[in-house]
Amino acid sequence: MKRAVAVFLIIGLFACRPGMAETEVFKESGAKVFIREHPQTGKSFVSIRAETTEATDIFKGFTRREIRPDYRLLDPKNRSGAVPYDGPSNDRTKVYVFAATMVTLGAAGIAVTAALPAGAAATAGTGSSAGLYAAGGTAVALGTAGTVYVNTRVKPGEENYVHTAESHSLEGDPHKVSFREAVAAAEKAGIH
Amino acid sequence: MEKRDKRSLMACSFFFCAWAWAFSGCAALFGWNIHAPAVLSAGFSSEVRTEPQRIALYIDPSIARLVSKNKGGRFADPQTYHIGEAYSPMLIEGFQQGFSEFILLETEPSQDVLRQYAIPYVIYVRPKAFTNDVTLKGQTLGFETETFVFDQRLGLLDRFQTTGISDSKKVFAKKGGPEVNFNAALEMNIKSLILHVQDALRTGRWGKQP
Repeated sequence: MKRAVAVFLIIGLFACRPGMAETEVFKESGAKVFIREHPQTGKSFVSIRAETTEATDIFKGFTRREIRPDYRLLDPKNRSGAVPYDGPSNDRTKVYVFAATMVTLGAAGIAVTAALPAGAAATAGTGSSAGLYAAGGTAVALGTAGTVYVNTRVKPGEENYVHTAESHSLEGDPHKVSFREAVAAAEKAGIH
Repeated sequence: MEKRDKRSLMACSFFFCAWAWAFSGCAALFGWNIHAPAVLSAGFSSEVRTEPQRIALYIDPSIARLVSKNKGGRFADPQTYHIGEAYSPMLIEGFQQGFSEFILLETEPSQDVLRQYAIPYVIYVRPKAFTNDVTLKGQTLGFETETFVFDQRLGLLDRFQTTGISDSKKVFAKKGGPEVNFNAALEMNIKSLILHVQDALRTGRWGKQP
């Protein structure tokens, strides 16, 4: 029985090959398939590019795997640090302490910044930096986003945060636009 | 302190100031350099189901180096948003989640490539606008893209605009606030884009493809 099945299989394979070859003939596109891995998720995906094209690094800005963000962090009821966050953030403490001291004391402020104890610098970075800005002068106080926080009072029950997204098809005959035209238009388009 | 020492100290301070100013620039000194975590939230996978469909994505090359310095208000600090470095990885991650057979096209799609690899649809995404509105209460960030959907013969099937917006309060008061708000705006854009494509596939709006 096994021998009969093997014989049929061999005959079948030989019989099918010419037929398959006829239908599977395509013009070579010169493109190759690559397997790439998303460094953030570790999931692999298929990538196609022309042999002549050099590989571009799509994940150029990747430095390390980040924890998925929790958008509850954006809720104004949650204080800074209440929702754990370990992703990229601005080191605004140094910048703002320096800015405030620059305005207050001018060039001499540099020496003060250097002499600031670590605790004072940390306090300046957590919203209570208003004192520093107030001392620093109105120009900085008005011009810094940190002051925005100090002046903001959110009423209880007010909307916490809004995430919206919309997508709509454009009017017109789509068949009039070719891919080349779309690319040319994309090159002209800038960002505001 | 002697008069001579005072003079040299002042001179040193002046030169240090001039050096710091020249090499850092105002935006770097006072501004915010905002990099998104560039990863989708856990909520994305629960809201976007995987569609059993082979689909190719071609991202406009200009997206990769997209940066916005829109500070969103006259009195707001200078802000630099690194859009491209976050959007491309997030878009790829979104398509991986949204479609069972996802293919990234690193070269311009051609009819030969699409036919050789039996790709029925190509999605081409290009940037349109990045909006920022900083107020006393908070910040509203928006990212708008334009998407073209082509069939295997590169005939245009659909063209749509997608806007993702994140509107939050006390953003700048929290560690990671601007970064997460920025990430949310990008994610909203990606979610809407993928849901639009999935909806068209489910409803058969683009017609049956080979």
